[in-house]
Amino acid sequence: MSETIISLEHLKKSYGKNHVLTDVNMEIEKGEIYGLIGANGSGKTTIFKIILGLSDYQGGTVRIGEPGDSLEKGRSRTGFFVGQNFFPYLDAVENLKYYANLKAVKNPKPEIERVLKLVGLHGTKTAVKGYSLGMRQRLGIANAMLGNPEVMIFDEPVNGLDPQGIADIRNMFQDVNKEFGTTIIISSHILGELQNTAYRFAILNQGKIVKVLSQADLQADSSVVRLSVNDVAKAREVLAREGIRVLKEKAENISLEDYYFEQIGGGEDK
Amino acid sequence: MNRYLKADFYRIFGRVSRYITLLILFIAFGAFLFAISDGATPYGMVETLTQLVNIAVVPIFGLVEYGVVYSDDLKAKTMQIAIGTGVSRKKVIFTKWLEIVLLTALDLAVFLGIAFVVSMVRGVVFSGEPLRDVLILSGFSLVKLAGAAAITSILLFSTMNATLGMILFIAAAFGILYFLVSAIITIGPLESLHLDQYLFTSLLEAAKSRAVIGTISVPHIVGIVVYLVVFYLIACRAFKKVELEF
Repeated sequence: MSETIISLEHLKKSYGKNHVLTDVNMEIEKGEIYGLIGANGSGKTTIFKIILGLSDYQGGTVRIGEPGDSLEKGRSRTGFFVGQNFFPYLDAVENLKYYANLKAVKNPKPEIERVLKLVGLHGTKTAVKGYSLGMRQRLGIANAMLGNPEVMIFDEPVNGLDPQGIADIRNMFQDVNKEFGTTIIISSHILGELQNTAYRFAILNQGKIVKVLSQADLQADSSVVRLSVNDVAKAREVLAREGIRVLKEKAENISLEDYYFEQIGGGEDK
Repeated sequence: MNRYLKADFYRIFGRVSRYITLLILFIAFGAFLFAISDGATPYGMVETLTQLVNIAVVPIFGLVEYGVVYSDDLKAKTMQIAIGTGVSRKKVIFTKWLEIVLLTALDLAVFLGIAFVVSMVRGVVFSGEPLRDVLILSGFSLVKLAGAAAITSILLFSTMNATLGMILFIAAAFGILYFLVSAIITIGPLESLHLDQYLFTSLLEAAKSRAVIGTISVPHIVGIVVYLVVFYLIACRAFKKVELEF
């Protein structure tokens, strides 16, 4: 039986009259990669802030770690990337040394080398103020992985990365998850990328989780058919009438993006 | 708390601009002391030195350390990482306060070392009672700074604004806040209540004057500790609900 490592029950959060989270229930299992999907302002970042103790909430319960753990203890097992929280005058190693002290990482030197190698920043000597957005992003991810925490939380981790960088980060998440059984929670607007990375997805809309589904659920919900025709330019016109010669017909799995828009009732018509 | 303290000290002790600022201040205060101590007696030197420590050295070094402890942290938002990795908000407040007090104490110790050397050059050797007086009075200056840092943490942690905190710190450490509050509590009917004797600075001065003559005033010391604890608890309450941005 799978073990829950983060549990949110009936979570409510308002900013004045703006009810950001109305009733969020979420159970994240140990060892999974969990994708959190939602539009801007849907409350993804607020959920992360509440989990990390950076935001208060008006109702509900939050549990992190083993049953009976205090929130502080649960959080001490967590690494996260939510922004670029670095001292600009220090270089990558010095910044990570600061965080290694903060996280009480044993043998910090080889650990810092390990995470910097993973994100491709090994050997960089310049101060962080001279880094590009992508380099800062990579350093943030390295910091989240420092000390090999049980849970990692990433808010938009691939923003600002080039396609190769995105693929590298995806592979790294999957490797870390497989090798150490690390639970990874990711929010991203790049749904195609999230579909390639996560095992389960939660769709957040209007302050609630409206759907939780696995990769298998997504594949089972296939309803899209792609037709290859001999004259693409006339396809729409011909489709309206009889007599189209269909060259190839293939059922495809619905994409996470399509599924998301279907659930929240938006997006383009197909 | 230890891991946060260790991390911050690693950062602070690696900050070159801090050493340059401190060096300039050590030279300036040392030179000033040298200039005004020509022909001083041991007791005259104690008076000069402790006045300098109380009015200028501790508040100015405290201000430098206050900036070093808070400004970079709030800019880089590293406090958020500390909280997110399990350091409680209460511990964050206490650690920051402790850092300011410890760093200023270290600066004060270095300055007193310089002052003793300057005094020796001027032919004044501190020993016995003058030495004890210098240490006691300097210690009380540090407690005054601890009070200023504690009251400031209420404003800083409720607004997360280092500049506002620094303004209040200057007002508290340089005695402006005491002057203002003293003026307010002597307006009209309040004057007859003699509330000024219960102010933090008044309690500190009373405890200090007794310590110099070799007695310990427990009620005044308890009053000082109560102030520090109350400031801390208010800061914890103010910080508890503050939304921290990534």
